[in-house]
Amino acid sequence: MSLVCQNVSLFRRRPDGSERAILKQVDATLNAGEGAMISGKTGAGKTTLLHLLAGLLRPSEGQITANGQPISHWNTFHRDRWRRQVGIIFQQPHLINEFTVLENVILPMIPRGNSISQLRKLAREALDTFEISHLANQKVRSLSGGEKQRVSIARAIISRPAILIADEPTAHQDDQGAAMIIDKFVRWKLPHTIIIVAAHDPRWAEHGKFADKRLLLENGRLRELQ
Amino acid sequence: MIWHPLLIAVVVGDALGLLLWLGAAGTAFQITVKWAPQSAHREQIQLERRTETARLSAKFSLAVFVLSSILLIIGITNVLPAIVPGAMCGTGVLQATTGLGGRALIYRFLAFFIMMLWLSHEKLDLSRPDAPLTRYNSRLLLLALPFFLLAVITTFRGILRIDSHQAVNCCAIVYDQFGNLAAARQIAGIPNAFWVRTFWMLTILMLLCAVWSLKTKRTNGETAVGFLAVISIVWVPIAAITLVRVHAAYFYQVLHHHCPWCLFLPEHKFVGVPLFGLLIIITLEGPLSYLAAKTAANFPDLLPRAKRRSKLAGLRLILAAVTYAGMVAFPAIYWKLLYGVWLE
Repeated sequence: MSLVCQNVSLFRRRPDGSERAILKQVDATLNAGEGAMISGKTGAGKTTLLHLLAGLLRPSEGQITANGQPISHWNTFHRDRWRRQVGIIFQQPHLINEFTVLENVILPMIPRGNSISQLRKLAREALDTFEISHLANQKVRSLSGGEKQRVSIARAIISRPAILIADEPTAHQDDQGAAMIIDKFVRWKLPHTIIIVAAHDPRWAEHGKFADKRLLLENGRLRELQ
Repeated sequence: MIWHPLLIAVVVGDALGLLLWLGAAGTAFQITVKWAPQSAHREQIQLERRTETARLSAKFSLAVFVLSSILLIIGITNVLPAIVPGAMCGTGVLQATTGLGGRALIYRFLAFFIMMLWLSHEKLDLSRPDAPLTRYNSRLLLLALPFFLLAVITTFRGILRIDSHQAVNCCAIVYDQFGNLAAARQIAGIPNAFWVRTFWMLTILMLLCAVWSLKTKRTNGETAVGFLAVISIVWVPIAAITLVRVHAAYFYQVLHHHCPWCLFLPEHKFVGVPLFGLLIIITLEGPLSYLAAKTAANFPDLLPRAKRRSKLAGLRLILAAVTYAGMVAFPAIYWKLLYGVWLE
């Protein structure tokens, strides 16, 4: 598995009709078994870049390939199917308040046709990983921000994705919670997975074992830090 | 109007199908105007998502439409004849609709034909990640809309016209069509024997063309499937005419009962269902095989898939034509062997 950005640019239209470059000629290659950390100031375009890598957006120029396939040129129908191998942790948890924690975690597995008992088992395991299995039957609306974030991580990893994309996954965590999450991310660095984390939380940088690649996004351009 | 549950089901099914198709047509219109593949703009991404919804909606609409059409046919052939006074088969029921029933069936078939073309091209389109036929398919979807609308409205008006207190002549009018026996033995001034010979010659020619289209080594095989499409288009009406005017006699075991609807009755073992079903398959698959080859020529990326679809159409056509030919030939040959004469 490899995820490659080739000369990727993204423009957005301003209200006056002119175009503003969010990302400019971004080149990056991420290989299986690697953990990449993207840092940059607020508004630098980290979230946008992650959304492009996850196939949620399409670049204005250039292309993104996964295993040599130009996924950024694909129609939504095919990109949506490809995205089943991508786990996404958004900056906001995007959970369904009316559902319980367990139901929220199960959701991405529904189209895959597993049995309900199997789904429950997988969801319990994912919740156990983040020490929140006691919340399984609670409605999401009653949770704290940090708990919601852990639920959203559990939802992203339940399908054991080949590509895990996380946007500020420790933003709402105390030191102990953040250490636990970073530790889990280090353990998920398997030979067949790619993990990409965008964070300006210094605790990621302090933890030496996660990032094989450190990328800095500045003024819409991406460069690799040595 | 007869408030029969089956007719209510047809009306509800039609209304639901039409609503779903209308919803999909709204998106299809936007696609024809605004489709910008590869654009990074939010509008395009949203339009692609709406296209998915429209695709599902149209497929569901097609399923509902087919279901309501089947219910309508069952109603016309086997349920309503018991309710409409004087009706013995679908002919009487269609008389009760004062001509609207027949028109509704024609509109239904035209809508169904375009919808099936759309469905077949949708499958081709989805075989490529860049979906090159999206705009073309949205036009097909829009093209089906007026026929769908006419089919639904005409069916509803036809149902409203059915009066359970007004007697009809039913198949008696079939006999009234001819002043003498000689007139019953010809179609448009040409003897029945000529039509039957033409039918069998065209059947053989169509099968040969279908085999040619399957065997051809040319990239698209457009010539072979082109011939196949033209022959199938000519073959279907001739097959239908000879079925009603000549071959049906061996099912009815009565001379010159030129009624297509009696073939759907249980006393004739519902033989009309497979016979007309096979005619519909051939009507669809002939042009489809050509259009798939044409698509392959215009969109080289789709070549392998389109060629496969074209060959599948050819194969289905062969199977349908052989089955149909066997079904009409067997009773006639059996009769000839049993009594030593043809029914004429």
